[in-house]
Amino acid sequence: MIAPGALEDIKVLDISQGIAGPFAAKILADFGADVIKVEPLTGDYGRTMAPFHKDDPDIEKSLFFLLLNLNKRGITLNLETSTGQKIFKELVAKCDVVVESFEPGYLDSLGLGYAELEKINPQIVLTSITWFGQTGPYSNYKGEEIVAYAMSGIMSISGTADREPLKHGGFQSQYESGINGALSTAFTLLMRDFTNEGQHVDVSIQEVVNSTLVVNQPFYSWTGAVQGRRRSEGAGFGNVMPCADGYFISQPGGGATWDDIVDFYGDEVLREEKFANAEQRVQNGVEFDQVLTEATKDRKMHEMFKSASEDYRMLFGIVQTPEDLANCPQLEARNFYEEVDHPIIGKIKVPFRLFNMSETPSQYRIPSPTLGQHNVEVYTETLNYSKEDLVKLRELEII
Amino acid sequence: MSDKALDNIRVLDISDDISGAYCTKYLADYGADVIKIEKPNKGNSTRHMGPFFHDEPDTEKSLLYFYLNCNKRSITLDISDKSGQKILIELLNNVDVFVENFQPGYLEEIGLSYEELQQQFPELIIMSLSPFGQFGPRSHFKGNDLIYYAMSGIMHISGAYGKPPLKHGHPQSYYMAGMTAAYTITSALFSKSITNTGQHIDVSLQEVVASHHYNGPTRYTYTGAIEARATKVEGSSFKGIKFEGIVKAKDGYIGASSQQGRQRPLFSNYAEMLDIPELNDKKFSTATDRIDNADELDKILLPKLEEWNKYDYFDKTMSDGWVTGVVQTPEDLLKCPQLGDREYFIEVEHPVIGKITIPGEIFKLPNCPWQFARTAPLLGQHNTEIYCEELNYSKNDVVLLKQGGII
Amino acid sequence: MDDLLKGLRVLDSTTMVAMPTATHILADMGAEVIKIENHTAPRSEGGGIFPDNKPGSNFWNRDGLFHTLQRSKLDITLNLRSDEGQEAFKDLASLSDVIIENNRAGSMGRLGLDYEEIKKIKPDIIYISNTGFGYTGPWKQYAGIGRMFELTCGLSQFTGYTDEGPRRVGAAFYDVPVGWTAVFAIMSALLHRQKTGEGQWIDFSMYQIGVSTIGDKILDFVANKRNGHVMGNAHEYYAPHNIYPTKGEDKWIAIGTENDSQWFTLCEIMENPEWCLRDEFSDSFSRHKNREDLDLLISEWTTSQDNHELSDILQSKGIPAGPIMNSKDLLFDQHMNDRGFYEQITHNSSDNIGKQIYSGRAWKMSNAQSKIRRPGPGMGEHNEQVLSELLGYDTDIIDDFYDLGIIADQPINQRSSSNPPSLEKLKEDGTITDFDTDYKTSLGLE
Repeated sequence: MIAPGALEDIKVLDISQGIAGPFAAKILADFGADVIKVEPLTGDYGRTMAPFHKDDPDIEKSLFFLLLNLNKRGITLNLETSTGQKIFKELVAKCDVVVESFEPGYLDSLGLGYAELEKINPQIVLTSITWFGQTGPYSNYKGEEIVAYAMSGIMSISGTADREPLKHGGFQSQYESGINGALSTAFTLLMRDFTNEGQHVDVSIQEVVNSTLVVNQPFYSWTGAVQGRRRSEGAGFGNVMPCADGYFISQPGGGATWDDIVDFYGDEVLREEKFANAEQRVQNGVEFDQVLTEATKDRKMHEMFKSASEDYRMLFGIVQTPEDLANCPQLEARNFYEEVDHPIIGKIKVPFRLFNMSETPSQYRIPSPTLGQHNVEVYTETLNYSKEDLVKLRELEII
Repeated sequence: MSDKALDNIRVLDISDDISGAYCTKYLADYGADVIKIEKPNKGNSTRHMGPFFHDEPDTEKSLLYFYLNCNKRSITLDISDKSGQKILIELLNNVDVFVENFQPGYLEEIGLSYEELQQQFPELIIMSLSPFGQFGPRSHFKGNDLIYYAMSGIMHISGAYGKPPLKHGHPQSYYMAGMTAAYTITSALFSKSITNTGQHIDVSLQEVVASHHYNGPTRYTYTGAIEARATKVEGSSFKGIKFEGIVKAKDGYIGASSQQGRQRPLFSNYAEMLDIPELNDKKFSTATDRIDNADELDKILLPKLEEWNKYDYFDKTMSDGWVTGVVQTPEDLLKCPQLGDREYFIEVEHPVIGKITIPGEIFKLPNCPWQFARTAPLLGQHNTEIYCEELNYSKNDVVLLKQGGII
Repeated sequence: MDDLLKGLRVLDSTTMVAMPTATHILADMGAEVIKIENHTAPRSEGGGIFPDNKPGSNFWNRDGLFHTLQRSKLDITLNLRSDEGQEAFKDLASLSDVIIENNRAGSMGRLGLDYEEIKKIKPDIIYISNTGFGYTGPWKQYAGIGRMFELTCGLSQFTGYTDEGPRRVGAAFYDVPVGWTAVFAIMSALLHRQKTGEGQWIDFSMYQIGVSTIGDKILDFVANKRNGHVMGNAHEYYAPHNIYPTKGEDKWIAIGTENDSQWFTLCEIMENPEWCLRDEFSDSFSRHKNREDLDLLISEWTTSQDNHELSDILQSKGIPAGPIMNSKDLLFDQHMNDRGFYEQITHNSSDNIGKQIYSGRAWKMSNAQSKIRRPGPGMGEHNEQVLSELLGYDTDIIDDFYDLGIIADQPINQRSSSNPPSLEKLKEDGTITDFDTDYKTSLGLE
């Protein structure tokens, strides 16, 4: 039986592309919202993002796209034509939320900015996720993952002091912004229940990443100090360290005593005075690193993780590979993965559950849409177009 | 032993309209290896034109695209990008024919002028289809089927006296241009097999349509006369070209008769065949008489014709040596006993559309016949096949090219 | 520059329009085309258009339509019902690459000149037989004519004014494309012959070639059970996209917009009348729905415009447009002339035609010359040249042939051509709109 969705009555138009916007809209969809993904005729550019199923670069086989667009229906619409704009407004009149990620000013230039949408539907929530936000001197700057990291402050403290700054691999800034987009939309919908008015929600990716530096920002505002990057050697537990089959990281605390930690590593030299506290572990950092490396060079990371966590109650982490994650017993037990059946890709296991809710859990309902898959359904049922109309609209390159 | 006329010919078709596609359909249907280059993610514009299978507008369900592109392979490539241009040159290394319909001047703009292409590939046959040709005061003008008909001389003489000019209700100009391109390409190929010389062929769509009205200029150059749309008198009356109008039968429309034809049956035979003795009246005996008394002739003849079922009339008159016509609908054509006997229609299978009957053999070439070798390609269906197997890119390269929007 | 088809020899035993179109193109491209006429039957390609509207005594050599179709070819006569005629035909066949004929199915067989017979003499002969509907099937004896094919091939089903039934166009439309497809077929057969040494017999059905051009409409029935209907000049989904009346009698302009941007530009050119801003015209889908009103409003504006000038203005701003042109317009058109579409030649003095102009071809090639090689031939003009030079017949035989009526240099049993109606009469009955008397000077023909 399908449990009710938390956002069951909410209808969302997702005109965003790429990662952040689509992820935000997907989260809403996972919790029950009816999300209609509106793509240009050539599709969301996210469809050209690798990895592709079996390395076959086809716009229906991008696994990245699949992940970010589960649970959505998909239509095509050319917003750059007058007819397309007209039809979009017809859809907006029937929806609660619009999620978009265009450069600030673009929707305005099409006559589809918040001021216009508000006139059609005063309850509409427009959630805009952009690199630098809707206002300010950088708002029209071009952004990219690396630019967001650079400008957020996180790159300046990542990597090691003797080398250039380092960015995260992957697309963390955009995922985080997607989550922010979803949560701010949910808040706004809650607010709307009281005020009966929509709002324009303005999410800046640079700010999202920056806001994760809650521990680091106050260095300057409270003490005038500028935090730098760690030393490459002798950072005293600060860096990732090699072991037999991978990498691990640990730090004191978490319930383990220093004696517990020494027992875990199994080298008595660690009980010596020179390693007794944090300051000393930094001062004798190079030696400390050597001891740990020697102690773990023959130990495997999963074994260490289990032992450190269960026997010694240490704070311990291992650098898991995608394969590790796919086989992770914890994630399995938590039903983190869902099996999706996609019309072109077939059956495939995807990461799904962000968190659990007891009454209205997130649910997988449908795979990501093929391009324009729900054109007929949406345009004939939600709006009143006939099938012949849709043929003309395709020939006019509107849908 | 080869059993396809053009099976040693390789064609690269980057055209994006009906005319280029119909040209390479002729080539592919008779054995050429035709590789279509389509825009990444979007494909040819004909993929977005109806009719669609069950009126479902989808890149893989256009019946127009399907009809035009059986027997061809499809790759995607964006040649507005420098990487794309480089790949195009790599592809051209290994082809005999290159078909394009860019706005004149575009290829030169992106550094691929005809001169350069001909220098690099001296045996290449380049087919350029354009609205008004590669040179001349109008060569940069835009065109489409309506414009070509307008400027061909055909519209001026088509329709009814006193009514506006009329064009065909189906965009024939593109199909005609496709045929022109196909025959000039094969002529150039035949010549090249002896001389090893390539060609750049410049086809103007407006000239293609104008060529249908071969006797238009002659009336002026021989007599100074400017032809009209139609004479004042219409209908079935038997006089020359203008009177071969279409008239009602009981269950449709027929072309009652043509004055031409080698046998030129007598009008009295016609009267006997239709059993209308009034037609034997003296006032209808000669061609001039018939036009002078056209109204009266029509009053007698047209109601009688309306009593005939269209095929009864067609079969009777044609069997008796007359030349008549019957307005056939697509449904009629599918049931046509002549096309059935010639096995013109065939059933094929398409991965998305499923099983479907399509028109087949255009003409018989018994030792190297018309073929149905494969269904119309899905967009970019042969990217891996061609880029990896024929051009030596790795699978990873192909992924990167996709991400970069090159393919 | 070389001739494309140098060295190719074609025997042309055809009449009417479709196959002669194919052979004049082959001849223009440099092939040697020998037209084999039957002097006991009238020339079928004539249409009664004579210089200055006067047939003259040798009217069979003075018909404008004949000359349009038969230029560039050599011409002999042969009575193919005679044994000698048939022998001569076979002798020519043994030296030829291609034979084209368009007699009723079985006729050539009855004369002992069909593919099976010719193959014995020239095993790699390419032999194309054109009939209306094909050599086999229940309609194999039905005659075909270009004008009727628009109906039977299904094109008329979609053609006509929206308040009436189906129509044809004013030209015999399908003849020419069948000729073009024949050239394609011949070239394909020649390419096959080069690889394999094989000739073949091509059974050409005009019907199938025409039907193949409306494949999409047939599939619309197969998949969606729709037969279509007449559309007038409107477009299936674009608007404004039609013809509009302009200044003068029967003057029109075609305007074929295809997107929003061209529509906005058109509004600007019309100086933004208030009706342009109406909601029902504000987007492409609505414009098509309301195209009848839209076309009326545009017509009100175009009636005060000159069609040629307006076309140029619209094109300069990127809008597809063009005037409805008649044949005279085309003959004097700068663009057509700059491209050399029309070619001027001088006729044989015995035909008393002088210089004339004919359409060339709709294409140019960079490394080969194609052009009208010689004027349309007199009947049997090359009897001697072909029979003696090519076949080695000596003069006695050729003289005998003349005496026996195997060959001739004028038609026998030809009924005299009645004088065509005067230009005034043609203007009166609406066959022509007008006529110029100074046409020869303005065309540069004298």
